[in-house]
Amino acid sequence: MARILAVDDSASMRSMVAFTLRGAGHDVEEAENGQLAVDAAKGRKFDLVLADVNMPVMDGIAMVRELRSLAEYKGVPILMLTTESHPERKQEGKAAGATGWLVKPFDPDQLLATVGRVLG
Amino acid sequence: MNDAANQAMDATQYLTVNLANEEYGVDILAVREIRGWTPVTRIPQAPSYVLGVLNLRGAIVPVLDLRLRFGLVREEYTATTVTVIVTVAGKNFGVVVDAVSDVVDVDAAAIRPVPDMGTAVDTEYLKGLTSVGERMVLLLDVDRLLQPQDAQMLEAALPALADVKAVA
Amino acid sequence: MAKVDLAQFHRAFFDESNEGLAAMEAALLALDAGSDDGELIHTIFRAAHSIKGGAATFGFADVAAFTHVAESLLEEVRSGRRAIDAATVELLLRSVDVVRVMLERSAAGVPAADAESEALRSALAAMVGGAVAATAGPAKAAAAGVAGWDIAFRPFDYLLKTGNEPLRMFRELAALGSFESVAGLDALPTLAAMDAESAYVSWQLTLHGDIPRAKVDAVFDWVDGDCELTVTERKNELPAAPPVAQPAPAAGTPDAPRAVREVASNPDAQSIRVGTEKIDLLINMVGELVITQSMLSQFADGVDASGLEQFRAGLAMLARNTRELQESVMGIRMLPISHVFNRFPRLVRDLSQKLDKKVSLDLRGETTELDKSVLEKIGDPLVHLVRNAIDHGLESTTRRREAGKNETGTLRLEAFHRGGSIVVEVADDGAGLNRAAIVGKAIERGLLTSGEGLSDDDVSELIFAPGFSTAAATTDLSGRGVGMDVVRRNVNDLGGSVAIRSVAGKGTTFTITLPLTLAIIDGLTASVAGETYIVPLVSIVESVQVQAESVKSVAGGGELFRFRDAWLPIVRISDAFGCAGARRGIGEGIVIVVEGEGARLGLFVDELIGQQQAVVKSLEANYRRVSGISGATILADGSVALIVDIAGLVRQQSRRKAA
Repeated sequence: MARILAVDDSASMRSMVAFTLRGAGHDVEEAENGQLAVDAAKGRKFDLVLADVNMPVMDGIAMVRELRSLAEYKGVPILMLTTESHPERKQEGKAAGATGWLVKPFDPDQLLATVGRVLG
Repeated sequence: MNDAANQAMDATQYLTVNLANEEYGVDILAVREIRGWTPVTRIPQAPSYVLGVLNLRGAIVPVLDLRLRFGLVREEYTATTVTVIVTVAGKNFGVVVDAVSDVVDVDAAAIRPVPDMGTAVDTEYLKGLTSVGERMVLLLDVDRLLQPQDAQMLEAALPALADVKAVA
Repeated sequence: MAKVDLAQFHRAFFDESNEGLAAMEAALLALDAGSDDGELIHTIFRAAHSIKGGAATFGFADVAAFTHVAESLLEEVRSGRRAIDAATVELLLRSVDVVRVMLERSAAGVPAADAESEALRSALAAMVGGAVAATAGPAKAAAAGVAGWDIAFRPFDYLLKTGNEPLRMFRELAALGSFESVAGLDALPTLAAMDAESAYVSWQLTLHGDIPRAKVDAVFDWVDGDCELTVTERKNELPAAPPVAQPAPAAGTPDAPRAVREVASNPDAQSIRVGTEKIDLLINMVGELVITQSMLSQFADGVDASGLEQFRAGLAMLARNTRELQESVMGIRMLPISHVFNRFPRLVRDLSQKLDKKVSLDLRGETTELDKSVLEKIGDPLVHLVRNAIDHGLESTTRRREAGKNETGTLRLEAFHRGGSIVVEVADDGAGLNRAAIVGKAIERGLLTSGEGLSDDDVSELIFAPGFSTAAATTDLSGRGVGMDVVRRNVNDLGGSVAIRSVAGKGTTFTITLPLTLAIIDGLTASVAGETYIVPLVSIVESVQVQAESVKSVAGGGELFRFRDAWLPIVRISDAFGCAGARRGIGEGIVIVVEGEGARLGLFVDELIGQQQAVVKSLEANYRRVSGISGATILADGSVALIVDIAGLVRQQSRRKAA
């Protein structure tokens, strides 16, 4: 079981991600934008952060930069949930320090496979 | 094993109730609970056999008197008078009977059509009759007790639409 | 693990998509009105992007395809490659409409795309620079029958800081085929210079087996650019691979146990979506609690012993707690009226364009909250009033100029609290009601024989008469067979009222008064022949004792009594509801003067019992609608009391008068 932070401004996507991961036995916390994710991450150490890129208040890229500036998040895996139509966002995410990405649309099986890949 | 299973599938349990010296059966699956008779709140424009409504744990439930429904006279409500709460098509209503009697297993094969017996009871609300030992049990068609006859009555009681048109 | 059923997220997806569309629409309208706020385009883009992502995830391919094109167009605008002009805004507004319909169809389980959406999609695609190319990178065709791969992997020193972990990648490789690794420590600095979070080790990896190149690449795709990587195909090999060597652990995994603090996230910014059925259940339970509490109070009132003082004090506290609990539970259902007001900027814009009138919309009090059930039902009446105001209330630009008024008409929608009610006003600064036209129409419709002696208020009331329409010619805007009578009926059904105030040349104001909630009312309990009825306090003007001498009998058995300057009809509850054994003499009982549908009447009851809050229960849930009764409630003794439908009685009374 891992502690996972799921970040997406879309409630349906967030619930889908959280529900799927909880079903696999993980402890999932949700945040609806980058700022709230950073706040949550400061309060508790997560083993993995999954974040959408486009979000109001603070987007996913800025969130990765913020998290990487925190001592306890230097090496924590952060996956961006990107869309196929914006391949350049992957590189932006990587440049900011993201571990990798999962391309939308994905189904619960793909999500679990990718999470399994990071958590090993 | 097989015989037992078949029997279980064909037999239905009925709650039997007494009404004017006859015994009626109510499909037990429709019975939600049995309460002692308590006064109800009368509702306007209701058919005479609808006594009113009562509070069933926060829900407002209509109550009908089976004697009145069958055109019999209700002399008095006694200590044995009960209200059987039934559920039909997701709606609850109470049925007032003289007393509850028994729970019996009735085999589908043992249900016979109701002949025109010249009893006071309208056969329209019965789905058949059967024998339990020496006794004859009339099986009630609960679905028809409050509906759809009342729906028609409702149309008659509510002149609203027609009236509005007349004014316009 | 059980298969995840995506259907459970559909409702949330539709809800948030509709919210997204509303935000998109509002932002587009702001752009249309000339705002150059850079954040607007981001808002629009984000909404389209989210809908697309969700639609693709949840299997609504038509919606995803449509929003994909819209998003591409928006991406061009966002990145500054395209200027947004009126035509683009128009196209995007139409897209909002189309997506809304597509979502409705998707929710209904029917194909979402139709000729209109396809045409619009083509129009959008045509605007987008170049064709919208398929972007999925085709997987490289795997070379058939390779023996394996040699992989030279040297992470750059920051690799661990990206959260990537060589060990984890090696495990993935090992899952593909038999695998061995040799660590190179040549770059290892002295211990003193070592940074625990840097990678210093390099690896020479060998993977045996007929494994497609793409699978190998996939393992390294996240570290592309963060390492030196060469992958070469292995020449034919024969002996089976030697036992797998454990890869050397990467330097300093920064995962030392740390104290875990409790989560303290920002509570203000959190929101939850709760199904209304769950809330209704809670409200029911709280309602039961209220009843229990008042049952106990009544019991305490009945037994008068000094030892009961403490019991009473406890009950008083229970009463307060119950009330507070009830208020906060009810509060969950409360939503700002902006949910309804949001649709008006678009409606007003479209209508004013169509009618060639200039209209400025003034929305006020958008944060005023009201019960969700009321909110859902107030939209249509408000739309009707707004349509009417623009169609009939506001004059044409020319006529306004001639009248010396500002060319641009003003339409004000305002919501505010007054007492225990919500008031919503729809006010225009148009010509006001045309008395002559209304009277003429009423005569034509047979509602009147002459307009003589009618006050302005009487004339205003005429527009609420069933079948009355003020439109000189039926336009496609208001003449949809729905009249003001329906507006009033809808508002009355919500337990509210509609009033109208009009000043010639200055404008017309419709005032809708609504209860805060439909679940609880304040009522006056009255008894008639031993039965208890509840009269909603909001409808009560006054309770009076009337002397038999001041009652006037009229033909047909009706009775009138003098109240202030008017003769009001008396409605005996006992007659209306058939109660046997009620008091007959007017002087022996009480007359409650009530108002509904703009008319007053006197309800005659035996006596008043008191005032109480009533948790409204439906009669229809298990029985049916009863004319003159709006519902029922449960009294402190557990018995049921019926709630009088004042508007219904007023309607019956006016029908009787007309007959």
